Amino acid sequence: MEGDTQKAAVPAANEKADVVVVEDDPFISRMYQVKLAKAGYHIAMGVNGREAVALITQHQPRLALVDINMPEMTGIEAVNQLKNDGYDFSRTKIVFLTNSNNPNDIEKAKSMGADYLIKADQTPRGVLELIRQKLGEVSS
Amino acid sequence: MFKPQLFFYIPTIVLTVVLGLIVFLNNPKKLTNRIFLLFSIGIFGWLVAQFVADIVGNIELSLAFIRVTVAVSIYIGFTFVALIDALAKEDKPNKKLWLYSGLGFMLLLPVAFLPTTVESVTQKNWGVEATYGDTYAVFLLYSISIFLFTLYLAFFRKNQQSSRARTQILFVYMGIAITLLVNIFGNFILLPFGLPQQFGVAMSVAAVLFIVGFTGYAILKHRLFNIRAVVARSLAYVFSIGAFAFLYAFLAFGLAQGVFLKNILTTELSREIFNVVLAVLLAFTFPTIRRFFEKITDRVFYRDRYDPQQLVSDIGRVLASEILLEQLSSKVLAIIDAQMRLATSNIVVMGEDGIFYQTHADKIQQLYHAPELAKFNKGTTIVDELTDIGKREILERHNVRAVFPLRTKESFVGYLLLGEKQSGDIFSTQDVQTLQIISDELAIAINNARSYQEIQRFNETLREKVRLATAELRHANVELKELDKAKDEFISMASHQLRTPLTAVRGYTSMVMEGDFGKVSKEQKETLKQSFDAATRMTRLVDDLLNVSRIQSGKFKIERAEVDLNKVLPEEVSMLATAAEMKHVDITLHKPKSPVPVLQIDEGKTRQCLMNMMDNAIYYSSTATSGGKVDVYLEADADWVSFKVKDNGIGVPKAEQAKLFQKFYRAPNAQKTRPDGTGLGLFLVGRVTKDQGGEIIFESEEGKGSTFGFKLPVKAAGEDLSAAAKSEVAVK
Repeated sequence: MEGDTQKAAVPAANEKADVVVVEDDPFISRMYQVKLAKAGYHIAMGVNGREAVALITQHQPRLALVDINMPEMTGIEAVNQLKNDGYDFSRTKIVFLTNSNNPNDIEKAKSMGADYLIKADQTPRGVLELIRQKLGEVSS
Repeated sequence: MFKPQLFFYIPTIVLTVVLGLIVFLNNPKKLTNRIFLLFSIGIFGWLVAQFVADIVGNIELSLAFIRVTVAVSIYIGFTFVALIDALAKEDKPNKKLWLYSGLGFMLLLPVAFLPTTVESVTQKNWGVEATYGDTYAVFLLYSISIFLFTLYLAFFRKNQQSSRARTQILFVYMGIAITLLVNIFGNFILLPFGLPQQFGVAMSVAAVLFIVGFTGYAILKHRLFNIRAVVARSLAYVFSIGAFAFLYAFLAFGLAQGVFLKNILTTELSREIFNVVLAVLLAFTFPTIRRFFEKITDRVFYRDRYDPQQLVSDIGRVLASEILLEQLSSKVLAIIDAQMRLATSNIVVMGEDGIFYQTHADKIQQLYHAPELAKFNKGTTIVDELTDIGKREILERHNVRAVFPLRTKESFVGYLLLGEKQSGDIFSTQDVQTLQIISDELAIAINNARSYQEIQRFNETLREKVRLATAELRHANVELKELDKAKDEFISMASHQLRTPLTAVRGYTSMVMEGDFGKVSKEQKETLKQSFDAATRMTRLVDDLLNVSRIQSGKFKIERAEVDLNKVLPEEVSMLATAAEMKHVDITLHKPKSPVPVLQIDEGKTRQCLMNMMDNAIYYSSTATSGGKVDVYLEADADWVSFKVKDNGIGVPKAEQAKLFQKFYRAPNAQKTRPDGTGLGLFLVGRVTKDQGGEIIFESEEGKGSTFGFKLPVKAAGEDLSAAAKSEVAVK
């Protein structure tokens, strides 16, 4: 049963995803993918800022987990790009992922109205709980 | 019976005697002066004998005195040799030479009295005329040999003598030699050819004036016997007395016998009274007359006269007012040049390694060289008195006539080098004494100026060195900054790179453990938990390292933000719950009765502190026999929020407590319990607490347990409490 869920987690091209995960490290993105899929979310995956812009624009997900430090285009640049494109964020909550508690990144994330989490401090369950909380599926 | 040659005799005799006595009395200890006296006595004797022979009026006596004149001539020849030798050898004559010429003199002496030498005299109306015999020819030979021998002694013998001494000899020699030649010429050549003998005698007497004249010139111009001053004074006296005598004679006789007073001074008494009044009057006028002549003689003899006191005081003024070496030297030289009338002058200042400074260094072609100058550092050198040809050559090349070494009590300073006087005169004793006084003062002043200049130069060098060092440091700083940036980038990258796989390890492990990939047994779960904890610990170590490296590089900064410990602490405790459970440690969080205030602190770092302290407590109490017990407290009062972790662990020995918060320090019992600790945890807690304005809470008893914690001020320094309170509301 768990294997099935895992497959179903990758949506078809025309299917809308609930959650977009953009993370350059394949181990971590795979980990979140599995955890979120098991929890029943439809997930779209990207590996850099450009893909983040494309996926979020395409899927308009309820939530996007976007890593900050990524090659080609950072997560912050991607969100800025979306803002410039006039993307409607009321549909999508942004949670930045970061691997270092770099105060600059945290500050920027907050100033963009986004939440953030430090990957190293969280287990996938913690991430899942945060997402549920953000989506209002559980009370904090 | 008036005899015209008396006019020659009297002044010549007087001059000879006066000259001989002055020279002798001026320095009776000096051999040359004594010999000059003996020589003068000879001349005097000859003149007197000739004089007596002329005037005695008795043929027998005249013959005897003429023979005496011949004998005295021999004596004069001998003293002439001795005089020239003493002068040429500068008072260190050749004793052998004296012995031999003395013997010759003794042998010749009887010849003077042989009847064949002076055969007879005849009385003429002008004096006596001698008839010479065959043996008189011996004296011709004697005279010629004396002439030649002294010529050799004076100029052809190897003499170590100064140019001044040579000039002196030249004049003395010329005076005597001319007299000698006149005598030889007159007595042996002209007389046989029919010159009347009266002219021959007159010539001989007059020729003595050459001796007096030339010697006198050498005394005045070339300081022979150092009696110029005496001669000048004597002349002043001679003139004064002469003028006085003339005046007295004129008044006493001229007026008294003259028409004007003849009728008044008729009685003996009135003439007496007149004379007394005149005498008193003249007694008062004498000093004035003397001063008048002194002034005139001074003007003649001391044209370059200056006032030594004035010179010393003028220079003293400059020395007192100048500190810069260049100004000081040139002003002093200008004064000396002007007052002593020197052609050139220089000051050379020596430094530790050679010449430090010399005046006119830009103008003089021949610069002085330290090794050459070093030959003159012993004492005053006057070129005219110098016998060392090498030294003289050096000074003459620089046109220097006098060298005064400048030295203070402590050190050698340099040289005052003076050129020729414009008058051509040499430096007198007075000059030398004055200049020595000046040299002593000048040495001190120059020494000060040199020190001042050295300090100035040192300052300049120092400034230059500082400038270079600063430039180097600036360059090094730029490089270091680049390196530091590279290092920071590396650490940030390294920690990122390390954290990412750790996140994956922890994440997957937790997922397996939580059953995301199928059911796990209790045993498997426990194993996975250990793996998970190890990875968590490693994450924290990476963070600790990162922070310590930041502290080291001064990049460690507290990033303040609103932090609600009411929320943060339970999260941290829950993260440790599994670790505590596995170590069978009972961890309890004692929540405050009312929530503690939100603080403006660095969340990440504070979390790390909480974690470090609680983790320690769990670790070190896990060995407790009754089971580990950890109590976590969060409390607040009006000013402080405090966090405490109490455990029943191994505790910290008293001796180790002071060092506990030092970097890399680990107490021995802690090392034993937990060999893999880094010694960074408490160090970081200490630093973070301090940087956030807080205080460490710590008490411990070995074997019983410890309480670790910190308290943080509610109101961060300089921040408004209400701002923190508002933000608390906003977060909620």
